[in-house]
Amino acid sequence: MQGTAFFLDYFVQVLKTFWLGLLPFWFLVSFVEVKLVADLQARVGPNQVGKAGSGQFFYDLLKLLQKRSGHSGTFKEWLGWFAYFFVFFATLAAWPMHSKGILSNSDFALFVPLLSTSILTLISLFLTSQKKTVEKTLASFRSAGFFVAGIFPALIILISVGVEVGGYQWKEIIDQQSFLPGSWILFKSFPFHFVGFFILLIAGVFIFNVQPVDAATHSLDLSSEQFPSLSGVFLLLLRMIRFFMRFSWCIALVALYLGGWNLPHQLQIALQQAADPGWLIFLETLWTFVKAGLLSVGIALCSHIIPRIRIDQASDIACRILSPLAVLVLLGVTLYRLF
Amino acid sequence: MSIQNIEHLETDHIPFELGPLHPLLPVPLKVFLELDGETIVSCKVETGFLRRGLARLIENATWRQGTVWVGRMDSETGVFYELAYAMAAEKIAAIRVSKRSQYIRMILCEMNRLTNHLRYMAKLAQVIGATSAFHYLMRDRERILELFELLSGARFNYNFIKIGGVAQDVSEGFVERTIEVCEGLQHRLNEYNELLTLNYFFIERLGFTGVVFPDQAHRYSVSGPNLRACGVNQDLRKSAPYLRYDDLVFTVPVGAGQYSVPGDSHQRFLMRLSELDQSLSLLKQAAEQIPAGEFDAFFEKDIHVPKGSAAIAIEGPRGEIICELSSSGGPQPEKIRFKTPSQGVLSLLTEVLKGANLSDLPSVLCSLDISISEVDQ
Repeated sequence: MQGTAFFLDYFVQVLKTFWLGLLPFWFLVSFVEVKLVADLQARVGPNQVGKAGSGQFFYDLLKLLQKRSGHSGTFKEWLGWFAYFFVFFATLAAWPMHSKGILSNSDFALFVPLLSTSILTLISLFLTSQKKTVEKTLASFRSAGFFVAGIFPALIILISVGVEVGGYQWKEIIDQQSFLPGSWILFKSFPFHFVGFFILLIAGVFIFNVQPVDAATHSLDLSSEQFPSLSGVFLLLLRMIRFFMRFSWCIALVALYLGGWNLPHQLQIALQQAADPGWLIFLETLWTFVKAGLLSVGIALCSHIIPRIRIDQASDIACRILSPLAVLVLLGVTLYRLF
Repeated sequence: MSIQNIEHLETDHIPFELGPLHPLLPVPLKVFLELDGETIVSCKVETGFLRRGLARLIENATWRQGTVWVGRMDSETGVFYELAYAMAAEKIAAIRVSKRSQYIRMILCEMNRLTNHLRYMAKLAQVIGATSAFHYLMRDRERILELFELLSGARFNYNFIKIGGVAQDVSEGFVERTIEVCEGLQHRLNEYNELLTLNYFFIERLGFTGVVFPDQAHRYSVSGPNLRACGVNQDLRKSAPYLRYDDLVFTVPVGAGQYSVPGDSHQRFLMRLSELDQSLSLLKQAAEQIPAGEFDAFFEKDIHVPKGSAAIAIEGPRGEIICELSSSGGPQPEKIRFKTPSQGVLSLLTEVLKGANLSDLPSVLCSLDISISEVDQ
């Protein structure tokens, strides 16, 4: 009975986070992103649906929901989609969004994002390597190539954060920081963690094939997208997953380097002492999401300026710059802590 | 297997067909590739998907109607085809064009060169993912198209250069507006330099890709900015001046291999950027020096061109355009033939793409600026 209650609690939490947290933020971040990018590019941006184009997101959503998918959906593909969602939902509760929400705050928690991305990449490989066309086969290998390029420096940087804190639990890491930027890990053992933050950010962009490192999925580099036949609901799902992957990585970065969910000290104490933890959960999640959202928009803005890079160039950057720098960061942090 | 033998490992080559309409291709074209991994081993090209039989259409039209059709050779650089056709007919008929009309033609040509180069840079930026630069460039191109609209009433397919002159005189305020736009765009060039030319990723994507050597370029009759990017100083406006180009002061930019090697995609981009600067200067000079006087155009229904033939070569934005025209003395041209710059470049593709990465295919194709409309005619 206790196990059933735990899983029920787990699912309720996941659904709450998804519907009340991630979905509104998907809309908000997408809206801010399109408006800022339009401003950067001297365009007006969407302005037809709703005030200042605020309804465009829902218009597109409804349009895709109504559209025929044109997709037969073989057993293997359905299996792939199911695995995508399973991995996503399974890891959602382990994300460090608020102090009451981490169900699996183990020593392994810090590596959950990496594990989930590994599984996602393997699924992606499985889905696309089954296709008997040149471009899809190349796409799957490119995805794997980007993943391999990003995973090593990311792993080393995670270890360096663990060395700084003395453990690999999310709660431990976030408790060592506070609301004020001076206490953030970003500025600790300066400049090692500062450099480490950017390495982890770039490594994440590699792992998730986010622009400008999206040669694995971009139509102009590959003749067609990795999932070219997708439309309607399937396209919507793919877009959602891709957004959540980027956003999740940003949440991890916020937790590791930018103070996590920490609110102003007085407020946090007052909320912790309150009988109902609702406000604490709401404000902590909101604060985490705001920081992650800003980071996500920042990545999007940069990606619209920087030209897309090839897979071999990405591997080159990872091997020659990111990996040696990551090792230096780890050594630097270790020596800093020792002396 | 020992590590020494890894070099001898061979993988099967993959045949890969693209086109004729494909997101990877900037123009309707069929490309047959043979891939070794992601490296292109061999390449064959099939054209003819935009064949309209323009030469025949011109030969069936009257001399006046012909000016409408020639602009359709390539809508993006239509002014140059109108000019080549008009100059060839004028040469046969020994028609003298007034100085003012020649200056108006020169202004049109440089404006058209600007729109083509801005479109080229915008397309190249889009292909490699620099989407912001694409928008900036297209916005500036819009200013030149507005000038075209002010002058001819059309943004494309101008039908403005007539045998014997131009369709009409410059409209009121056109010269002042042209100088103003030129000065504005001159400042924007620095922005493009910072945004694209000196961008690390931009150089990485374009540098050392699609290299064309001078001997290759000569073998395939490549001309214009693609040839000058290889380091060859050849520009008909300087070596065999036509219109009033000898009245203007300008230098011909040549690829020196800054940031990469002469003849590669990045050099071709730099060449267009330098030519933008050159064209703006020429346009400003022409607008400032335009002489007062009558413009001239023949408005008679039937223009009489005596028996004879002529060949005219002019410097278009993509390279040299040669128009061979012959007249039997009748109401229609007897024979017309265009040698367009894209024909040579397209033949060169098979050599340039050999050894290139599949990811570089769109950027190399774009950097060569092939107009399939010119090729298929």
